[in-house]
Amino acid sequence: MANSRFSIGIDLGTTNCALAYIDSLKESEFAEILSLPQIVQPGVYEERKLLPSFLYLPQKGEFQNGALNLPWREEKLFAVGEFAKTHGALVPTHLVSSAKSWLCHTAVNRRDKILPWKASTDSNKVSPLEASTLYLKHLVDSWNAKFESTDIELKLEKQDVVLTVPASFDADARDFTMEAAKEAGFKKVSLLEEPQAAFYSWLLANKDNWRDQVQEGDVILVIDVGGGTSDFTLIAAESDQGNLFLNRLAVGEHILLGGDNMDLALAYELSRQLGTTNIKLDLAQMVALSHACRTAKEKLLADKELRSWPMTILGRGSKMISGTIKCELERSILEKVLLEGFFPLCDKDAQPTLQTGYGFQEIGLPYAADAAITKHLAHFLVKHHKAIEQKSSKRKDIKTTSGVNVILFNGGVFKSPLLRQRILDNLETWSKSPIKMLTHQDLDLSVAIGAASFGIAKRGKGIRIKGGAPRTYYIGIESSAPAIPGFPRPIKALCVVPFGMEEGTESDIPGHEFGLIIGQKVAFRFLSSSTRKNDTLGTILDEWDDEVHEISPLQLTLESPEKNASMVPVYLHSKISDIGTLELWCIGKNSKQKWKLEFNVRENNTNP
Amino acid sequence: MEPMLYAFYIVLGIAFMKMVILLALCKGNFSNLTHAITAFFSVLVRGKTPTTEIKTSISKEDSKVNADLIWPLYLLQREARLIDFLLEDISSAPDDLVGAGVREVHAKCRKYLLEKLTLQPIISKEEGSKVSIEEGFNPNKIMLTGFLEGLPPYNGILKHQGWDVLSSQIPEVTESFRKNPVLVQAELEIPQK
Repeated sequence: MANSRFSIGIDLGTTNCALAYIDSLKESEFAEILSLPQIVQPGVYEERKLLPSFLYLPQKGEFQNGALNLPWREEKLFAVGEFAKTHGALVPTHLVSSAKSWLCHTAVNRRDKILPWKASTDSNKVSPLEASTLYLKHLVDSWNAKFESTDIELKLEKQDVVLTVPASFDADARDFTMEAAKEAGFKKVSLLEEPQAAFYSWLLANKDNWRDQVQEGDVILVIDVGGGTSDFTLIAAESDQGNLFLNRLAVGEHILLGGDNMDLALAYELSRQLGTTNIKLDLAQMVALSHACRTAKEKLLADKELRSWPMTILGRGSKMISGTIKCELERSILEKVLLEGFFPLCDKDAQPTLQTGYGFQEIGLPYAADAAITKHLAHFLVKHHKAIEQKSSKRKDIKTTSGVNVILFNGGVFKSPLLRQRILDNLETWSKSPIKMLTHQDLDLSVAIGAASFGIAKRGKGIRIKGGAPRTYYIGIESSAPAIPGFPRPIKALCVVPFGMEEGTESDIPGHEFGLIIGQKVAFRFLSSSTRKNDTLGTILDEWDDEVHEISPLQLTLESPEKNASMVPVYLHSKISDIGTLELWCIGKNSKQKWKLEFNVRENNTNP
Repeated sequence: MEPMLYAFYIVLGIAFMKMVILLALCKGNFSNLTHAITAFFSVLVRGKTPTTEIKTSISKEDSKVNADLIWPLYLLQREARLIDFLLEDISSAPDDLVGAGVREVHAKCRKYLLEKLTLQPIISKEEGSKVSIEEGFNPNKIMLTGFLEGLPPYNGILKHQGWDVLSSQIPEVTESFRKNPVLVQAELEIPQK
């Protein structure tokens, strides 16, 4: 397929979306950001660089007819973006937020209309998949409103699009993201992991001299703490006959913990203090307080000399001044909640605990129980220490010890030098040698920019990070042990996709033949591991500890050419598509008929 | 007469008088009276007032007010609660609350104005410096004060550098606002069931 004029990068974030694009007709490659029109108050829309990933589903008659219209569409019955976010904070029963976290939540059916989670059953609801589709559709419409009138060929459907997903997204969450993209009207789309996208953005900004900044044997940690999630990735700089290349070593687990939790935690701590002086805050005041906390947090983090920052919560109603509540965020509180709660100094073998810490728990989403990001980081590095050591042994500079030696920060949280320093302090204590920091410009937009840049790199015009499958995947095979009541039959795990299997490759799984019954739905258990990197195709595990996890089951409905049920001998075939999704096929041994295994969304909460 | 009995007669007398007045006032419409009596006994027995539903009927007719004039005020209220601040009687509010409130309202108004308007000083010089105004100046943009005599050029001290608006991003008045311009929306919070 011919390359399109634009390479478009889309960051479909948990709290914000952004769209960046690179025009291949322009001399130098630089990314531009698409302005996104969105409702900011009833009847008024404005253009913003970020589209908050919030959806507001109004009650009938709540707004004047047409108040949520956008230039490209009338009779809108919902709002996406800024107004949804600000107004929705005051009306939580009509607000859909964190749709992306629901999209990778295996305990719910992601096609079920379950959002807003807080709404009563009879109200207007959407599924996590539909919400994600609406955000993407908004981006499509914004693009087309700008470009379509110039030339029909410039429609978004005809451009190459790279959509980012968290590195921690499972194969099924990636599939759902693709499904949402197709629903929204994307035609030429591929996936990229967010931390990699952040790294591509750095590469774009340093394309003339990045080789001077990264050497063979470097192990680069990309740490991305966004509004709602934290994501870790390790990239190794390797050399092949003198040519430097980049290899994605490992990705972390999905951690629902981000900047918004920090503001909320501060707000709760302050409201608790206000509570001791008999001041009770209502919902709107809590929202105002957490906004005030964000500002205060940023001021205190930016200036070490400040001991506290005053905050004002205006009174509600017409008695604004006399109802005003004054309080202060003191540095000691900030440090207690933020530095000790979220970024404590810890040992390199620290484990995140399962008790509730300072983060907030909302029923429904599996928020991280331990708010200590540094402990999650320590845990991640320990899990992958073998791979890290192996790669860093190639380092020529023998003064530095093995371990991570380069870091790239991403996400709005790390605008604060104090928090960056906190991570560096931890890492340097753990590895006992200095860490080099790579810097890049815009921590909010870098993922979208990097995705657009990756789109160009894919055309062979720049360095690509070797990635492949971020996990090893297994199919569960029930062993033929006799059934014991009350105990599930033990399963064995057959490796169907090895770690690092490259995009655009496929392979038969050797040595295994199954008898498949035709004419009914068959389910497969499906497992993955982010740490078992040496299992090859066809490897069978009889037992494993917590390094292998079960994910959504796969299912298959067999279309039989014959009317009667019969058993077909099949073998398995796996494929990683060019766009980065995983496909598993059953292929008839004699008939050469093929059946694709699909992710089965659970119909009930079997794994809460 | 026993003092207790005396007091009883007085209370009974007052109650009777009240009854007469109430009956006269309600002009045969007993529903309000019933409501008042129910409320009275409800408070007496259960110690709380029954919830009263206030049904409001809000006019849906188009307004005659020029919406264009109200719109900027409405926007600054939405963004920064400027109207709440200006309409509140703050004469007896403590200084620290006024200070805190003003800072908040001011910061938001300022942010909004700087975001929506591209401003430029009309005379880009330090206030307090000497400035000469040539003939043919624009009196819309420059105001002359002090001992004004004779013809230009006028030499004077710059007291205010002025602000020119180069461009405005203030949104257009919406269709529904044009029909029903309001200064501040009423707000009703629905409690959790």
